[in-house]
Amino acid sequence: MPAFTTHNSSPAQRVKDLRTRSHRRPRRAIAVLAVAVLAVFLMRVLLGSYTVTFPDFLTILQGGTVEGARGARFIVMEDKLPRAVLGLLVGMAFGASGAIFQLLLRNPLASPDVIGISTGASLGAVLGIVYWGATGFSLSIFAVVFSLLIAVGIMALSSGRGNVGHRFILMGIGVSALAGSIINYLISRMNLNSASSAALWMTGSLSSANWDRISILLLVLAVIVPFVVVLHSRLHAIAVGEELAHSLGLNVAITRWIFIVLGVLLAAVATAATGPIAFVAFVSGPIARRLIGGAHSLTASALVGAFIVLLADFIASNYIASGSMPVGVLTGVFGAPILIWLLVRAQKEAG
Amino acid sequence: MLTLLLLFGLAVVASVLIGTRTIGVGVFADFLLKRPVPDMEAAIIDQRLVRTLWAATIGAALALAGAGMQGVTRNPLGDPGILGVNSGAAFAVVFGIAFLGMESPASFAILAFVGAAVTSVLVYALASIGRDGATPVKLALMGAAISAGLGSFTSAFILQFSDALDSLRMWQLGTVAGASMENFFPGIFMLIAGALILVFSSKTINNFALGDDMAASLGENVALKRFIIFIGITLLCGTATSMTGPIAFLGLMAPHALRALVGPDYRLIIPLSAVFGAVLLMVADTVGRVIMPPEEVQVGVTMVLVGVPVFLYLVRFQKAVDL
Amino acid sequence: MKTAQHRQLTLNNVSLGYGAKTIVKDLSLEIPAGQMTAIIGANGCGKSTLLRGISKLLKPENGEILLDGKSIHSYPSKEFARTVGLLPQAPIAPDGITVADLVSRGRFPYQGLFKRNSAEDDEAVAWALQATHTMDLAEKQVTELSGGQRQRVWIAMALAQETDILLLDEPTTYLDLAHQVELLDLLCELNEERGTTMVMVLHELNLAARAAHHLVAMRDGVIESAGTPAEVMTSENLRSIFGLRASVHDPADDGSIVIVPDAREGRR
Repeated sequence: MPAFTTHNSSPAQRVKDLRTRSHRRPRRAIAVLAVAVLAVFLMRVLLGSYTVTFPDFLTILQGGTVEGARGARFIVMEDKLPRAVLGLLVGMAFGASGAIFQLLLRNPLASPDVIGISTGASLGAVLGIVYWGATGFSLSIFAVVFSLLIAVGIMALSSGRGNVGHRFILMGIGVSALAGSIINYLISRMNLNSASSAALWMTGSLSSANWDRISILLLVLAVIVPFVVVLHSRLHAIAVGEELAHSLGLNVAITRWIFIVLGVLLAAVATAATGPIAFVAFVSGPIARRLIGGAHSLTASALVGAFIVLLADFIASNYIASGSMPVGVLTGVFGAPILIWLLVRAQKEAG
Repeated sequence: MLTLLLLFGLAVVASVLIGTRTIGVGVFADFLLKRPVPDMEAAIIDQRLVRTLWAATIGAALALAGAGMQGVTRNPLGDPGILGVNSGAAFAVVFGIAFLGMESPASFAILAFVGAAVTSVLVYALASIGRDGATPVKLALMGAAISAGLGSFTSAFILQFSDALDSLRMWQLGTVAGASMENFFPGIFMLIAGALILVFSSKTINNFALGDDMAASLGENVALKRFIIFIGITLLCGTATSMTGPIAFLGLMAPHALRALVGPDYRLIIPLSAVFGAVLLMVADTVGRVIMPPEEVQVGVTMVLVGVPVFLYLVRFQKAVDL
Repeated sequence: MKTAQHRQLTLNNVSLGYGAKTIVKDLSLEIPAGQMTAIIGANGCGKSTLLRGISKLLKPENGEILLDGKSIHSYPSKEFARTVGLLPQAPIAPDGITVADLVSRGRFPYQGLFKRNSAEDDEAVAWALQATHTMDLAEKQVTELSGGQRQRVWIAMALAQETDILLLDEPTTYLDLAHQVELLDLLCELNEERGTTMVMVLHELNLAARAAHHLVAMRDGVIESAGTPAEVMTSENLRSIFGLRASVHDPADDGSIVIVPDAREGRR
């Protein structure tokens, strides 16, 4: 404290300084995360089994061709770059969505994977595969429509008096079990090929990345993200408890519904694009909180999500023997130990 | 109480009579009274009786495990699944198929039990790190983390080995259709052991409901008792899963429903859960035989189909539930 | 420091409840502006429910609650939040938040969708921290604080809201006697200096009598007695409202009364 008792500064100035100081660590952490995401993005595009130099990459981006490697343009523009961009976008969407639910429902288990949003998307996709032979884009539509339907259903069932948040989680878990069981049944009745592609889709993969898909995702995110940015201070205002938030002049019920819808939409469009990439939404929030010093941050969580997906995809496509391992396997395989480690560390600190 | 026993009787009779081929009440009565019945019918009744015995046993075991779990974690969402039992069992089965060349249902049972037990011990051990031991929140978080991680490995294997996918997708539905007396016997002893642990612990669980500190001041050795109950839970659900494949939701729902009916006393909830769980699983199995003729729907699926609406109803109309 | 305006808070035949269960029944009450009012009563008598009604958390089933003659439900929520503040019984400290940040949350009703903390906000927060003697804690995490410190920080947050009326639901729960006295003295000081109208639910009768200008005693959802502490705290009232056998003393003969429960039977 003494370091800060500068006698000539007014108390208000001191409050301002204190606030700046308390935001310094989160800001720094976010800056570092952003750099890390950029680095792993470039790594995904430039390095790996087919390497491209940075000058060549710029040339390709500007529409030129690289001397002596005519295929480079195709590999970068049609494979490596779209995968990286899609990974970046869905990683951020999953990360932000998970953080929204965890903060809103004040429960670390309340990520879209747990409360039925991802299972809903999977059910839509599996139904699409079985009954309409859906692939690619139409598969995405099925996934979005179903996860939204399920989310709206859970919302309608859980609305009313009392603790909506808890009811939402409980109902989500129930509906998730129902959808999961229907999926398992459908998969048991498909031919093995369809079952394989359903299982692949449900693991989450960037292999279907292309510019059409990216532009659709970008378009949808361009609608959703401004809402999240403008309204996110309200989400944080809820964190002091319902009664106090209400007495601060916040309409708690409406704010809660808005963020449930935003969180569902983020998770649903990301799931539609790549399948439910395991664990990203679940771990991004807690990891981001550890990094920035305990507080919740949607930005940090989104960046952690992007980092995890990009790194996992880089490893999956370059260092796993078969070369076709979907990114969702890796995010789970690496995400779980990280989360477990974080939990154990937190337990030791508390103990 | 009486209603529950009546329901139990009805469920047994229905489970024997109803199916792809319906048995008349008269024929069943003749069979019970050792009067002659046609061979065909006798064979069906024999098979259905075994199957009913399985369904009742597994249902009771899972509901008991669920009641124990909810009591010891003080969490109405407590479910043996939290300890990672199902994901551990699935992982072990897939691993066995992919790398150990196992193929028979009997070997699946062993794999599933080992996987379930190892996983739940791991979850418990990791959650125990820290001063206050395996608290409910830590158990739930650790279980979710480990389950999800194992799920990813399972995905990795089934995407690489299509025969693993083929076996897993059948196994993970959960069914009592393959019931036989030979396969019943090794498991039933473990189930009885687990059930005894839980029944004799019901007073302790009541004390746990008051909080760890209060339980300790009532003279419970909290860490030790929690571990013993946890062993009971693992025996019950690990064995049940190995016998039928994963049957979700029963463990969550049966004690939940009973708490709404008989109140918070675990000395009632625990034994009644067993009866109620048995009824639920027999009904679900019977429904599964007739819901989509001529095919049978596996009991793991119908259990969820029946269970989720009931669960949603409870959440909707019960008083505030704490997480 | 912005001084508080005197606002008239009036309840006319108000009934409040949850679903089919009516808890506060046909209650009329005038809150004296610029004074400290304490609501007392046995557990479950509707004290907290009344406070929830006044803070718009609960809509009256019947009757109306007026602020300066206008129904409180006709005020826009942020304007109302700049006029009436509530400190609930169990507020939740968000994860990983510092004291300065938490107190700044009290400025929410003054901030628009895009507006960040202004100089005016900083002034208000600084004043709130100083008034509650928590400036030295400003940099700490809320989770590191002791119970008494934490409660002062919550009061600071409510003060930063700069409302004319402040509602407090059992602000002294979980505090030891010394901290209870300290906290109530702090509230009295703020009331004197700034003129904030305070309405608080209190359990400890002696402390309520010591801190409040005006007492409202409730039983079964209705007001049994209201007035100065000396008027309300009579042994007859204590018996009828709380079922408490006690004598009331005025040692200094200046209206500062002390309640002494009767000795146990057989110990006289």
